[in-house]
Amino acid sequence: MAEEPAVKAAEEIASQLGEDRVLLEDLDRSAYSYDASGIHAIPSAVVRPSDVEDVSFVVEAANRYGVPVIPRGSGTSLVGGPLPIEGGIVVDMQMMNGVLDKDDYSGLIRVESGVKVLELNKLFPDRFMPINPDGAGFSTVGGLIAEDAASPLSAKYGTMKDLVIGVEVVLPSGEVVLVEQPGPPSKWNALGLILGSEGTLGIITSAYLRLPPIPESRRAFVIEFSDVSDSITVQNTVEREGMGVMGFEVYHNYREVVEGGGTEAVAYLELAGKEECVDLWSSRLSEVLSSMEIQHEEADLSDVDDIWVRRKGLYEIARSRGSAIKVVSMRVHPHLVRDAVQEIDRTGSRMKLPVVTIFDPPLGWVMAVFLYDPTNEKEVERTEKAAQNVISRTISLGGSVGFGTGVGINRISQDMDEGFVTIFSRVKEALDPNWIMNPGKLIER
Amino acid sequence: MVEFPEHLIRELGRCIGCGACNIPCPMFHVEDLRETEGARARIKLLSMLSNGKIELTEEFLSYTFTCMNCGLCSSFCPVDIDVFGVIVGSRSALIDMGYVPLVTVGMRDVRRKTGSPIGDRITKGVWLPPDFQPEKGADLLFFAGCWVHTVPEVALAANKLLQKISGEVVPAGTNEPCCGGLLYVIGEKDSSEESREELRRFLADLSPKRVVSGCSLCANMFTDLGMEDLASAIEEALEEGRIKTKSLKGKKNKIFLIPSCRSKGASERILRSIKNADVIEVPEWVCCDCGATLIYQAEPEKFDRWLRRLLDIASSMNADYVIIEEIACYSMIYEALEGRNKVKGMKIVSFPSFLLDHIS
Repeated sequence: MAEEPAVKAAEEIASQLGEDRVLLEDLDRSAYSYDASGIHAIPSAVVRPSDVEDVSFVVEAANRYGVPVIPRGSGTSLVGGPLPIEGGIVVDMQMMNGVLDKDDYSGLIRVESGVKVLELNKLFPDRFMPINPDGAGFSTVGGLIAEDAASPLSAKYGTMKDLVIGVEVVLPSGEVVLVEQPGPPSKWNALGLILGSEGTLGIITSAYLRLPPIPESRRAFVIEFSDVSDSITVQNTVEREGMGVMGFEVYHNYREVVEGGGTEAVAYLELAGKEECVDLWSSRLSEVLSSMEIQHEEADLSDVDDIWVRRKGLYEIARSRGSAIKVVSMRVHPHLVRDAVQEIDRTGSRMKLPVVTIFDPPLGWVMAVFLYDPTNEKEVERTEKAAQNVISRTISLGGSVGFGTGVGINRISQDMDEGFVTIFSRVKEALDPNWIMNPGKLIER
Repeated sequence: MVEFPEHLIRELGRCIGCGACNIPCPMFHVEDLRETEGARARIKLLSMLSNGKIELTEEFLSYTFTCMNCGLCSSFCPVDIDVFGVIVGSRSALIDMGYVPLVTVGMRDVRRKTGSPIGDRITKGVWLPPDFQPEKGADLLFFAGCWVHTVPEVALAANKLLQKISGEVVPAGTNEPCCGGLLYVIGEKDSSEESREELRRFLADLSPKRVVSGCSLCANMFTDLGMEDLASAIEEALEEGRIKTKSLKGKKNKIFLIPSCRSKGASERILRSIKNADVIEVPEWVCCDCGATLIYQAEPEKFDRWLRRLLDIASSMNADYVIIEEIACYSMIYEALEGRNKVKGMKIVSFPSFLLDHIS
């Protein structure tokens, strides 16, 4: 049964936006109760704004009634980002999907936050969107910015925050602010607060981005590591010698879990840039790998695109045994990647769950992918325990959770990162004294 | 609580919730990207139903049974869940448990009375002489499909087209059984199997050398029947040089094709091979076949929204022609447009009729 103040707020919103923009039926509310995290939480209402004025009205009304407001893009979050875990009104941003301005020469675009990656990729003939976390391009710009999403190509292009020049945000009061300048930002502070704040400070309604050009030349290798530590040595060499790495991703236990046996880890490494440079780097990389007696061969670029763009490696894991998957995303100092992999392996064996660890040495990004039988309740429980265990072990290693995916319901506590929690809580109190914006995410109240 | 068979529970549980299946989902796009209308919601809500998180209501039942039935969702799943197969399997399981939605009851009755789920609106073989009887052992048997009988001019065009590619074409005639395709997608698996068996016997009795189906749903979904779809048969004849395309005259040659959902691109390739034809690239969710029948009959306003959206897109792309591959779909659109064959300056044509004018 929907909460009373939420229903009142929804009724008021319906009178302004129109009845068809407010969904109160059980079927609709249930359809907005999930994302890609496996968590469920049914909202009291769903509203579907079509412009920034609508969003402002919704937030202002919800604030007045003290009802939580949860922004939602395409619902591809792995951490429950768009789920109303404390109840409230879900704001579906997908209808705000206009391209407001675009410049072919500079690759600058201004889009509404409901625009999807697959749509961005149709806008320029020679530029592209390197952050495509779900592989299908279904995620929205707003969601990617809110969670500061990453992809294997973050090795070259950074995470989502590195592509954003400015945003328009509706604050919890309903005020609309533009955090951008006509040119490159001179101060990052205000923008930096919004980027990656997981919808807890406001709703992003549009964004000013720059899409990078497609590189002139690319060459890639598939590498078999018999010891994951070697991948860190390779990363050190690549860095020291200034090679242009587009992506470098290692799949530990992949051959064992997916193919039933083989080397400890398989990796893909792509070099990109000017043709002469790429050729030179490729020969050098091959030389280094050979001197370390590491088996490698040049990979087909379409296969590598499958890995970077369509996330085939990740999905292949889920396909391999007809299992469900649980992904935990973290970041550690690159020299500790081996320890993180060992912790994940240990957790897998203790919980009797097959696990593949995907890590990107240039980023220190580690993803544990547990496989489990969704029809076996005990195994589902064990998977949850395994995920929590990996999170706490990562933190004791000095790592952080939520890289590339956001933290979501895993929330950062005082003992995880006191400085961040102290500063961010005070900013939150100031901007959102009623804690209506996406409560239960990112930090504890 | 609803208890689905274990293989369905497993597949529902494997869904990672990424939403890729919403990308090609026609209803998701037509209903302004409303999550409820997309393929992901159907899977997720069935999953919630199976683990008791939501209750089975008449509204939910109707919802589960009504989509465009295009099946495109299955090809977009990154973890290889046959999304549409799971939806159809769930419909069957619900029917087995005794939950028959009101929206399909009518079709079930009509099928019992007439042998076809749309039997009350058709006179089979109306385009043939009254005493027509198909000869046995024909070179090519033309299985027209249920809907084609509502548009006799398209049936004749398809028949003539086939005559150009094969010496002897014999229509299946007035006793042509329903293939059971539509019944299958709405979860009536027993009735579907009965229909298919009847068709199998019918075909065995006539023992033609090949069978070309005007209904691509039947041909592509029930490959065991050994039927080819019309576009594939024409493409093969073009490749073998038995027929040639004629160039399009004039300057108004922009084509917006609504392909059949289960075809493998033959219609588009054929149109692209026509000189001067400018075939527009359409969004991935644009397609239609006999599977749309349920939504056309049960929720006509939704079908109308779908049609209007398609015509708006075609018009915004300055199309001169809207060509509809699947004859069943053409029939529904023809009815929905009340027989108008020109909308917003665009000609609405069936694929066989268009091709008949551009093939020699």
